[in-house]
Amino acid sequence: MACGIIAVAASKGSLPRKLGIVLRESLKSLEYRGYDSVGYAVITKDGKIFLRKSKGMIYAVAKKLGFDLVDGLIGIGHTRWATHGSPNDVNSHPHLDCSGRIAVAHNGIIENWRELKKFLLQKGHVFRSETDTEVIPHLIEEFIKQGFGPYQAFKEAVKKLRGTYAIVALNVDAPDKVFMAKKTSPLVIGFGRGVNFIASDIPAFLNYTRKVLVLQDDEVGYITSNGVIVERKSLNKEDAVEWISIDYKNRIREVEWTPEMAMRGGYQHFMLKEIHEQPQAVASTLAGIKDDVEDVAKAVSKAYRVILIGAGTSYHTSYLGAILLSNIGGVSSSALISSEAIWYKNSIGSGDIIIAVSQSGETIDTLLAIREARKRGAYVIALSNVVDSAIPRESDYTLYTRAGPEIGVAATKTFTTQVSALALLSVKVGRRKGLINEYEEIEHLKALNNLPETIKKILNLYEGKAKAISRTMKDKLSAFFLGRGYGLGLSMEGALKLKEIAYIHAEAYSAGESKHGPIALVEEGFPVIFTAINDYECELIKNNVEEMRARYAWLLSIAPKKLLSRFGKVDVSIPMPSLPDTAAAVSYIIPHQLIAYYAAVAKGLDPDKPRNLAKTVTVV
Amino acid sequence: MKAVILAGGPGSGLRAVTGGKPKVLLSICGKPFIERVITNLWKAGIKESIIVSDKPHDFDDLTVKLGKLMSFELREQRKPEVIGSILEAEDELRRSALLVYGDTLVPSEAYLLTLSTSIDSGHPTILIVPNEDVRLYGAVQVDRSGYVTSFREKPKERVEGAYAYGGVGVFNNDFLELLKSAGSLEEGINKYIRQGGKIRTTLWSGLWIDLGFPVDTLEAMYYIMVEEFKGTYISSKAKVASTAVIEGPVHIDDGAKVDHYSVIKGPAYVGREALIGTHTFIRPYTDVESLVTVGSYSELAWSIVSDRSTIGRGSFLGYSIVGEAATLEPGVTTKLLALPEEAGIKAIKIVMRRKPYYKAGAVIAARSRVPALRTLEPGTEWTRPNH
Repeated sequence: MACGIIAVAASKGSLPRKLGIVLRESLKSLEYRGYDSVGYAVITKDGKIFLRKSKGMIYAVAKKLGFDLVDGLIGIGHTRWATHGSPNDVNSHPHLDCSGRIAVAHNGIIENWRELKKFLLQKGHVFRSETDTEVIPHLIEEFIKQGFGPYQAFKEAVKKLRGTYAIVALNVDAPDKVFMAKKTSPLVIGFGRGVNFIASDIPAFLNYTRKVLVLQDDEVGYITSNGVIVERKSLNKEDAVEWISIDYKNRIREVEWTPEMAMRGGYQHFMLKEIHEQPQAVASTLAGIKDDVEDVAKAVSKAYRVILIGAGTSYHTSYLGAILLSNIGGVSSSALISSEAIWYKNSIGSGDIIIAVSQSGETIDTLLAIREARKRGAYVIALSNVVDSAIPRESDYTLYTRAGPEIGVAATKTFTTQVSALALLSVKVGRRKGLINEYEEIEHLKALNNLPETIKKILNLYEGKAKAISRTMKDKLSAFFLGRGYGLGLSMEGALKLKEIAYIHAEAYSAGESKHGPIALVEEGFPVIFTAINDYECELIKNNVEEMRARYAWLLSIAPKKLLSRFGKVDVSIPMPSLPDTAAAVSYIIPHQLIAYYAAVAKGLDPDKPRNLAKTVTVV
Repeated sequence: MKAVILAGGPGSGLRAVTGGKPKVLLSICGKPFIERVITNLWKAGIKESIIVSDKPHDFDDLTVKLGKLMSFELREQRKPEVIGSILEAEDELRRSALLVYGDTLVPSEAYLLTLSTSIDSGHPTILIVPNEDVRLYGAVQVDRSGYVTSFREKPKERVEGAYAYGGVGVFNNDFLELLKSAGSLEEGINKYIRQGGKIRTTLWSGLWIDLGFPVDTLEAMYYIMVEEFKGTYISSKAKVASTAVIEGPVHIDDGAKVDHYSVIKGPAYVGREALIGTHTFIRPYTDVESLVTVGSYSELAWSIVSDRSTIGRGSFLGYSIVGEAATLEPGVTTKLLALPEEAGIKAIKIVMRRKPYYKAGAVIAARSRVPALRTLEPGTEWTRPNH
């Protein structure tokens, strides 16, 4: 479940505005994690829990729930993406116990909730919702009944839970504390002046603090307005659970994200903003991995083979990365979809390198795949955008992209930063393996370093054209994205963008395969988008363009300006700069992103919040 | 064969109406003016064109829409005047690409004529037209065998025996080399001739439409309607009330609504999703563009009402041009009868019962608002913003 959690523990006068407003704003910045229902709970002055929750997006229900009127010092909030129980008012978080003295918000899945619920029902607890989460407050209540103190009871309850969770809990008997526990699902703590935060992600409290502690699995604790306690679960000699208090001081990080960075910065949507941030993101990524990439290149060049795994856009990155590493790096490499990687596990062993691509670093399928691979002796390198997230933590080495927070659900800048990182890696590997000479290396590096400028230029030239194209695309029901080699990887990503935000059925196919089936669908006016980045690809794709033209398809070609004439007459062409493969594999995606974005806008859709999707997928 | 289309800027005479957009994009009878130019070029066998404009991105929509016809390249004009835009596409013009002014509409035959003349003669060739006001289009004097003897880009007065420059041409390497050093097209042509070079002309006496001043635009609309409207067309997606009267060649586009008791006398055009209110009288040569609302009891004669404008109820609009998203509040009246030669107003000459009348209405700027019951004198240019 990808939900967003926020918890605040403040001392009097430490918050510049009402607690309700703080919660609302924080939840707004977590909306990308899920947005089908919202709720909050605060401890009132007279020591009661005040809870409101409703189905709907934050801006829509904020008034109904009276967010802005609520004041207090201790509160929790939740924005939900339903996996368990339909999105309705009752199933919204936070959940209460029978007495209404304990409130809990949770992200994740409690695997043993049925057993726990059965046990609690027998004890006389009354459940209101169909969610797995509701067992937690009742469980805490049960332990309090048995005589435990509030924190002890919380820890006892956590002990009973199996599955994935990030939990925050309020208890009126401890009115200055917010309890927390984490396993697999993300949870971070923010340290402010006279106020502390717990949240699913950093942007939630960036307005108040930049000092961050990323919690690790099996850690529990609580925050008050002036302190944070963290304990870790461990087993003692008798195999009983013990909680060991830990010193987290040197784990606290200062993040460089400014609140403005996490806001839209004048753009109509986050996605458009993030498209325009790509020059900056690519520049800082390439600068940031400069040293690390040498270490990774050393390891990769000695590998027996390299398998890149990723899900969604990260799979497309992996696909392009595999071609780059084979073609330029000269190592045996292939790409796998994370959730399919398990079928190849028996052939994985030492000598293999797994490159796990995940923007959030939390993608569960990828996480499970690398666990399996590591067990079998493979060396795992993570490529992630989130520092200290699950996948980097469980990997042998990590390359961090520095795209900054990506709030639009459709990946844009994380794709370009990931591909540019892999492009740089492939050049370094190629040089080590002697596949490219010094001169070629310089050519590639020059083009990569020049990418920010190149991307800026493409954005300036083709934003208007993409808008114009989108007016044609928005009325189409279906589209083909064809390419070969790098062009296919870019086509896959382009098709994904179009379908996920503009809801137009888009299919990417190897151009060479198109006449083995898909061409049967082509009729007059059927949009076919060709992407080719170099001379060789253009030459190969020429005949495919001809086939489609003969069937009166509506043709759009994205190819180097110099080579466009090879395709003959197409309906619309986007002439791109001629670049080395490494730089082209990154920058040729820009027109695709723009077309998808403007098609969604032209259809009146919100590209930042595509239906049925969540930014981080932490459920298998 | 390639064409270089000079699509320039807003056009001084039409600046208010276009609201800063290139004037060639002004929509007439549901299509931007330049779209007809491009279609005619395509009919003449042109497969690729270079559009030069100071705002190239304004043409993105058009290039995508017409992508089926030909491939386009957009270039930004960085230096002023015609010569600035010509030099922007110098490379193509050196290779004998056809030069076309985007604000000049001629049938495809005129393009073919220019091309074949240039191939036959082997000289740079320009199209010339008779009987036009050379002060606006440039005066070309020609010798007996059809070669240019002198060219004046913006003559102050009428030049006897001169033809008007038709805005279509084919150049060559030598000529462009010379043009590069010259400061203007006029200087370039005259210098070329003085140095012994020859420039061939080809005379075109057929349809020739130029988009210059508001009056020209109204005339352009007239010719377009005469040329294109052969019968009445009513879209199956339009709604015409049972009591409405549609007479003559009228074109009613998708989603338009014509309410009860309105009378539309063709040739006239009612654009996409436009609304013609009840009891409204649309007289010949009226172009109501898409999403326009014409209030009830209004009367429109020989006018262009651009996209998204509103004409309040009980208004009378004649020989006028209304820019995009302008608002005329109820009861606005234009006065038409002008004494043009004295007042310096460019007017349309109409002969009725053997008596000549000079008619000129108003020009209402894009996004402006005319208050209720206002009477506009002939030749008024209304630019007050819409609040």
